[in-house]
Amino acid sequence: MTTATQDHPPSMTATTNCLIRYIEIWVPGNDGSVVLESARVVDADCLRALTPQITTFQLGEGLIGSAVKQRSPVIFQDLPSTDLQRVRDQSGVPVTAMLAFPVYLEDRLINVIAVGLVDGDGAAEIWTRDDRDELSVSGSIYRGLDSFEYMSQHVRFPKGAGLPGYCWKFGVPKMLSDPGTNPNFIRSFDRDRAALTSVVGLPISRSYGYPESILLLMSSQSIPLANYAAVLKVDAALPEDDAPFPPITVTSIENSSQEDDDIDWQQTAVDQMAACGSCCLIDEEALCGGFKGVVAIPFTKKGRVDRAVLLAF
Amino acid sequence: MNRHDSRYVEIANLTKAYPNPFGHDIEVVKDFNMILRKGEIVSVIGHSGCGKSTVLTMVAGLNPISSGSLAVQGREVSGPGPDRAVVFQSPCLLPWMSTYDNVMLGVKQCYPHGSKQQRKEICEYYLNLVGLADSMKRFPREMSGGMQQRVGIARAIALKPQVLLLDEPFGRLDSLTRMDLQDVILDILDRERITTMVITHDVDEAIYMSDRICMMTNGPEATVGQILDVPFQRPRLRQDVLDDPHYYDFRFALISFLEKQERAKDSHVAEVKQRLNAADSATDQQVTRV
Repeated sequence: MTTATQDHPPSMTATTNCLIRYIEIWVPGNDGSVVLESARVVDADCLRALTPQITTFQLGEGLIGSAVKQRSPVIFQDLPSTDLQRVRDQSGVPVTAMLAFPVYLEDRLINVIAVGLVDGDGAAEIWTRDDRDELSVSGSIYRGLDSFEYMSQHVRFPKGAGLPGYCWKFGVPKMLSDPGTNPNFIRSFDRDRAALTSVVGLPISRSYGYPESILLLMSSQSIPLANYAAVLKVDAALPEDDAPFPPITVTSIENSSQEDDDIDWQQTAVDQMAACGSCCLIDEEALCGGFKGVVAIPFTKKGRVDRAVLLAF
Repeated sequence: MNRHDSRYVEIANLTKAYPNPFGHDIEVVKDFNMILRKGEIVSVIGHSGCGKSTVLTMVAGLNPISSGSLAVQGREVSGPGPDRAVVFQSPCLLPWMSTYDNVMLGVKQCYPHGSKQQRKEICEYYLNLVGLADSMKRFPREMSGGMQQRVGIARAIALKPQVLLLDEPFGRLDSLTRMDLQDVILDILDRERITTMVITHDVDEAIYMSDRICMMTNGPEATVGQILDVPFQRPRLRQDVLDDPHYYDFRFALISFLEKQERAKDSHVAEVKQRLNAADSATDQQVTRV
């Protein structure tokens, strides 16, 4: 269910069709601050002024600074927050929630990714470890999933259990399709209006095996979170400091939102990510399989770049 | 709550394996993780044969663990002991002894330095708690299944265990007796704050009795699928629980978990078999080379 508010151009709903409508990539500054590196609105027609007025956040300041300080994803929703207003003002996108999460290469913060979400069925959850060494929901946004939302507040996953527990145990991102019948997605949402179609789990970790938190992004039947999502198996040595990665070969597509997905433009996206040595936002349609943009996020395991997650919109 | 109380029973990566004819270990339970707080009641639910009772007997110290660790109040469990009392589905009373003598048998072992009068008072107190004050001199053959199970419960709790382990304690009882005994046990547990693990198949029983429900995946390699925190306040009244608008959310969550496990059973077994066959073939090849 996509609902455009009346003060936005009607063309937007016709041309945009996923929950993610706005993406920013921030990089750590020299003084502990975080600086905007790049930003992309899904529908360029709606771009009003993508010259951000705020390009720096201090540690703990706003959504971006909070994500760095807490070393965990942060969600702002249904609030007259300055961050939501900032994105609305700059992009004209009717975001109703914003999510920011830090990305680490081993113990080094390389980026904060901020995502603007419009209203529509789906969910985002932040799972963190509690005093029993179990994962519980510490932050969330749900749309059309009332029963699922209630029950999720009471669910705990030990290491290895469920999708969050899997990401914790193996320290890698994982995507599950068809969670309604997939035995690896334990919870049920059958009593809800929305039907989930895929779930992506991203470990937010500074050291292998000890994630700070797990971020779960869920797509529904009525509207996907992203027009394309994939977890790619890659392999490359981890560079020192902020040097570019050595060439990274995509060995396989582990999970994808598309059936019979073959390695094609995904290699190009990963090449771009390797050249940046960090997350990268690609907005040339020729380089991202015809999508309007794609963000490539690297994940490390035992000193190597081991997985890459692509989210295209 | 101090550290020992907040991690009263600590089960970490608990694994039980039995060898197959090729000499490879088949892990019936694998990497089972759970922490119980002092006084907490935790139900373990799952399909028949998934390994629930295996977990319970390992916690009881009756079944040696293959790997992992198991601690009660920070002390490693290495065998059975009076700190962990078990109530099985069948009360297993000694038929030639009266109700009182069946309870006294354990009390004598646990309180060897107590006076005769003290031991008598303990027996009478717990038999009274389970509603058998008038049946102390009766023999098991003179009692119904429900009454015999009450004796089993009194016998276990009279040991003043730190942990009470209930293995489908109401499985053989009719529904009215079952509800009655659930209330008897809850009443005792609310008074005595005994940390309790209950193995059950009954989702309603799990919701009504527990602070937490541990749902186990199917075996082999059964483990914790998810844990549900049950938010209903204790002491509980059955009607209040049933009237809670979220009661059916919990019920549905448990049933849909079990249904999903049932649907995935065949593919899970096939996957494990495939892995074991691959391991067996590798062993065969090694043997051939030798």
